[in-house]
Amino acid sequence: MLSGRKDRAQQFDALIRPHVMPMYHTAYRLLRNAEDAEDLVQDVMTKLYPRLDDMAQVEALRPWLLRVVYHSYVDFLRRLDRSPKTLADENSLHAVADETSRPDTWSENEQLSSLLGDAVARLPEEQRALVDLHLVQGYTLQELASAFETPLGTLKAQVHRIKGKLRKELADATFSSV
Amino acid sequence: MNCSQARDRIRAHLAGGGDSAYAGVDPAAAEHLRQCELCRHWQFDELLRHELGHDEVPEPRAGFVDDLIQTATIQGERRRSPRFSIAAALAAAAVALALLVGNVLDGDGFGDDSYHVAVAPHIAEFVEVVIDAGAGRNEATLTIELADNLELDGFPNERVISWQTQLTEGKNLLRLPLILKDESDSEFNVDLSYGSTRKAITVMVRANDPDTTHSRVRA
Repeated sequence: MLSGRKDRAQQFDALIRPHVMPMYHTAYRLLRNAEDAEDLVQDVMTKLYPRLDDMAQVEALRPWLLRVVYHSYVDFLRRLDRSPKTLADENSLHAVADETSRPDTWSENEQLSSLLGDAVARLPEEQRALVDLHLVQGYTLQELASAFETPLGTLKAQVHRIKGKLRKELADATFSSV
Repeated sequence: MNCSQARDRIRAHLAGGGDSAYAGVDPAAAEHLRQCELCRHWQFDELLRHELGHDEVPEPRAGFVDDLIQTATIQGERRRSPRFSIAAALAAAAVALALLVGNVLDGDGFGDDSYHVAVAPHIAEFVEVVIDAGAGRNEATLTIELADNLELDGFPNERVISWQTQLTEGKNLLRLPLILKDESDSEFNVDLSYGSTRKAITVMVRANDPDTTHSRVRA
């Protein structure tokens, strides 16, 4: 029995270790608090250990774990009596202009990086987390749609609108500075 | 200059610490950007990725990864041990039910009918059952009977789980952490009895696909 436990522990370690820091990064992007992110990942891992056999059968563990982290994030906020942020909420994007900007204008602006950095900083946390998970952490839109239980088309539209909003802010800032 | 060449130069410029995709890039790449809408979209994604990359995640405490794995292993072994998990998990379920009594959710009465719900396979997903009690019941017995490919989180390989609980008058919320163990359809029964009265429902469970919005059963 003891050797069985040891084998399970080693198998769990081998499976989960490469994913712990990515899970922490995702949790931090969602919660914006390091201590909460650590607690969330601990909670996820404690739930995962009894599911080791299932985990071992999952072909694409990374997106599967993203889904688990996101579910735990929603539960985590509920326990804290905070409304979960909806990463795929179209209502929060109604005010976002979906128009083609003037890339020829903003691409030539040497302050572009600063302007874009400011615009990104002003994004609502859930929108920033969404584009971060997609563009920086490299999750495909299909993987994100699955994790957030959102239709793929809806998610694509949301990412498109977020980018449109940023482009518009850059274009507006460029025009106003001329 | 083609798209690939232009993108290589812009990527190299960003990697070298350039603060925009244009400033400092050679005129041919800049001219290509003006002419090519696809590359302008690509350029924007690159810039956005670049900016988001500056938003650093603070390092966790020292020994974070080792501590988490060790703690998960110890606590996880406790959870999966039948000697402890049955009693503890049953108690937790009863407490959760008691705490949730009185939550008002839209729902129909608890009738003899079939309901449908979609869940993601292989992970625990809560399915909520609203029990509308006509009067308070101090000693109601709830029994969950699960198909072979379904289990409750914390009750590995348990097909029938039964416990006594209290119902208050009105709507009582039962949250079941279901785990669909494969991608095939499944079902479970919820059976409620008190005194000589017995009511039951069957909930059909199917695997959620990525394009399907999660749903919950209201019984």
